[in-house]
Amino acid sequence: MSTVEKYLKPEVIRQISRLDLRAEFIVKGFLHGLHASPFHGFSVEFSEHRKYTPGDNPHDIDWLVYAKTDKYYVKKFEAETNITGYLVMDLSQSMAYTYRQELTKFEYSICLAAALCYLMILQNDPVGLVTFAESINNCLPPKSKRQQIGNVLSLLARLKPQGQTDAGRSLIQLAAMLKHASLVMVFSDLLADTEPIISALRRLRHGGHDVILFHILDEAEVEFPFEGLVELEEPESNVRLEVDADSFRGDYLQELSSFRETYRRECFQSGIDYVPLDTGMPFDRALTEYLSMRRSRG
Amino acid sequence: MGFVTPALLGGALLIGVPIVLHLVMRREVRQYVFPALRFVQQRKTLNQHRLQLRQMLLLALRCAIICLLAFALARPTLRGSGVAGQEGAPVAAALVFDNSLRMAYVRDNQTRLDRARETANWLLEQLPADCPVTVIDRGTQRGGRDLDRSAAELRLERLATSSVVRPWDETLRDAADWLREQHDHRGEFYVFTDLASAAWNEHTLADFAARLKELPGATVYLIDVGVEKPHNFAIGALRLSGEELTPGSLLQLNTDLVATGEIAEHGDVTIELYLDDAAGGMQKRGQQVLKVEKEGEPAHVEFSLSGVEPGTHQGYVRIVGEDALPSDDVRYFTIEVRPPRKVLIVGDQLEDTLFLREALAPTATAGLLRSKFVCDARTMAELASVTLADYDAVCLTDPSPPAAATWQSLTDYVHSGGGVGIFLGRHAKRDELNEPSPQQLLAAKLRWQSRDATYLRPTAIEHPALAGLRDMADAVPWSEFPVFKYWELESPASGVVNIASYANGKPAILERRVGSGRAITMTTSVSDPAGNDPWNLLPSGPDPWPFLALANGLVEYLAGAGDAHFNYLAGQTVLLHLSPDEELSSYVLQMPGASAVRQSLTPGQRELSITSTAALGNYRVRAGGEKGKLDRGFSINCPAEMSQLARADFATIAKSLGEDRVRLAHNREEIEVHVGLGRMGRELFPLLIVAMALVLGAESLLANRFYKR
Repeated sequence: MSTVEKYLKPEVIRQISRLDLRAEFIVKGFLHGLHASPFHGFSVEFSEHRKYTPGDNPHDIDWLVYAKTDKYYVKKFEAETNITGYLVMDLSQSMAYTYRQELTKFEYSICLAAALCYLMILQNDPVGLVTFAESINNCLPPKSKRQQIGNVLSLLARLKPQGQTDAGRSLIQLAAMLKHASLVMVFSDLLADTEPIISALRRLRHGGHDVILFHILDEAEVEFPFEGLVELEEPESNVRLEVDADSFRGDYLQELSSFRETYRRECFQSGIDYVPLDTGMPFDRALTEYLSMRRSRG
Repeated sequence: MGFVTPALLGGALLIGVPIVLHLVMRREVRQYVFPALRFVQQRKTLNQHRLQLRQMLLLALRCAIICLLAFALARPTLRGSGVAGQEGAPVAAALVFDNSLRMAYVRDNQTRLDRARETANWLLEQLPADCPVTVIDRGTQRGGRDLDRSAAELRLERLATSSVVRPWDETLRDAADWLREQHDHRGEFYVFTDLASAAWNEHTLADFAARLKELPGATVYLIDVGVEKPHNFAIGALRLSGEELTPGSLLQLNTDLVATGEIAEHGDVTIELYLDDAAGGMQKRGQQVLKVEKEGEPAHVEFSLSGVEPGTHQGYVRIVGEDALPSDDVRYFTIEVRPPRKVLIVGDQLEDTLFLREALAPTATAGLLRSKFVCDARTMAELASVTLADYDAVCLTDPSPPAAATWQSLTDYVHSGGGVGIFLGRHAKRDELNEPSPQQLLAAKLRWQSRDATYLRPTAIEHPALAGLRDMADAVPWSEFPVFKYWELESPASGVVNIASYANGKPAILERRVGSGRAITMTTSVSDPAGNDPWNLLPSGPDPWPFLALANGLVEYLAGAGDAHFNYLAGQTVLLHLSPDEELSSYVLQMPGASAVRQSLTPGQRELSITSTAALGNYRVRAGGEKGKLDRGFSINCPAEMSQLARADFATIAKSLGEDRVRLAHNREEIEVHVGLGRMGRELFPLLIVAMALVLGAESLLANRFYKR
């Protein structure tokens, strides 16, 4: 693994305190890896022309360049720079959870959001930031200027997850706010009732927006690493429950799997990208998802 | 099940500790913040139930460990006698011996009783010093007595086989009764037996089982001192053609030779008959060599004796040689040869006495056979002049009622021990016979002459007067000898015994005891010839053998011949009737083995009653010195049961008495094992400890699995 790609790992990124550096490292690591990846040819080099590759639309071939160079080049990127992205952050108390005392779900989300912001600004895509708890708290309008990175990152750095959340209501609120078709990237652990959230996501989708749902859970929430008799406390409602972890693990994983499957199914039906993540996963998965989405929009 | 240290069972109460810990000191659980609790909550109920189940399982296992430990320390025993609240109670031992003659069976130069005694002495040493002991045998002494150790040893030393034994169930009952009196003791029966099936019969087992139910903690140890395959020859009971004979008559002795066990290839057995001679010694009078073909199948033995001089004679039949059980190799007998009994037969005419006279002393065989009776026929007119005391019996055949004085002399005669038979017929006059004088002898008042044709049909053939008909009771063709007329009687007086009835149920022959004699009334005639409107055809029918047997039986009974018994079984009371001329104040009883006992008689005592009849052999009763005023005898034999060596099946005994109550031992080692098992039971300690270890392992495994850190 190259030195740059290591920054895709949460445990490495955790050691970098500055958020802007974190975002930069993640994106650079990602892009470096991308050159050697099957995505090679899906150019993000920001030139007017790029080599034609099978699968590109033959109508896009620049015949003038062909005449000069006897090689196929396509010209595409002028139109692609107009994707407006919204980073939508869940600020609920549960997002502050970490079992291994490393990255919390919120920190992971922030890193990811910052990296995406960085990536989008690099492509001259306007990007905004929306945070919500029980309703929308902050809203940073999208801009494509380079200083937007500083604005977004400084806001992200100030955020603190606390209190309860109402994702459904907040997303409906967001749908009402957005005037133009945008790319909405939601970062949440979705630990709330399923129905209102799915309903709100559908509403966003019906509003003509593309939605990527980053479902971020803690490693512990995915693996249930507890053993023996344990008492678990829900941080938002303070509900306590005593369970035998060993015997319960199977049931829990089954329940979680069912939960994720519900979202996957519902999102698929609504044309929403559902990306299940946990805080132990590298960041490239999320970035790849973004790029896939961007490509499909192109 | 019992416990050696039952108090430690209280330790089981410590199961309260884990229960209290479970209820009060719940284990501290680790706490975590966990936002995804909603997934947990949805499966909470199921998991909680599972958790509770595990907790209860662990609690149960922990309680089980404590219980098992307490249980194991209390040392439970299986099938021990330490039950019914008598755990740890001292032992009371009843040593019960079958000392019947069977126990004299010799094997390895030792009788079964010797072997039992040897084992019992050893057992006595093993019993705790303060253990109450009793020794009970089948002898005449009833009930058990508390014995100290030395007294018990003395009883054992004096134990001997006896021909006179109580029933086995009675002996066992005595032991059970004694043990029941031993309060706060655990009862133990040590029954020394040869396991003979004759002793362990169904009745005994049922009775003993009932007694055992009253002794819930008691254990029975059957100590089998018998021989697995006994081998024995035995002479069965002697069957004599008569115990009282007339001079010149023939004596027939019949018996059986019975073999037990495997018959040797050359199993010829010699049987000898001995009879005393004039000099007082024994003389061999017969010998037979028998070959026993099959086990258990009796071989018949028959001897005949003739020419025996008048007087009392004794002898024996024996097997030559010795076998393992000597008591049944000899059978003793006593006979008495005496002159024929004198019978006076009186009728209105001498012809009336003919049938009875011929029946008792047939003239046709007078020169050939000696009759049992000498008959003297007289007319009623001559009766007053006859000295009745000269006769053993007087028979009145269809008499016209004699004078009152004659009736009185007849009554006096009966009072003094004589016998009078009155055969009523056509000459009887009801009113005269219903007078007080005749009614002193007659069974009842006469009512009328009945003309209902019927026939004699004796039903109660147990009466001694009908003893001659007993063996052929069903074969007698009484209906071929019809009775046309008979005197119907009023209700007989109390004490009158109906010997025989007619087919219509009316009484035919009745007996009345008067003083020490007896009077018999027959309600129909025995003197009517067939052609002259006979009252019956009893004496005059074709081939009238039933009449002969009946007449002989009745007159024998009247003459007292039926009372003569000289052969008894051990333990029976011997009765010897004295004749009126035998006036004694004392006599000497000569017992087998030459010991003699002098006994006194009360004035007027007419019979000797002898109860000390335990020794087998010939007894002699003498009085009056050399003049021989009294010289009688009798023989004592052992019951045939004492030769039955067939063994009972222990499984049957155990089933009847309860398989957990009875144990069989053959030797000291087995006794030690069984008594140990009986008292302590089979110790469950090792099993319980293993079980506890398993439960402990399971608890650790589950606890580690449930509460992983």
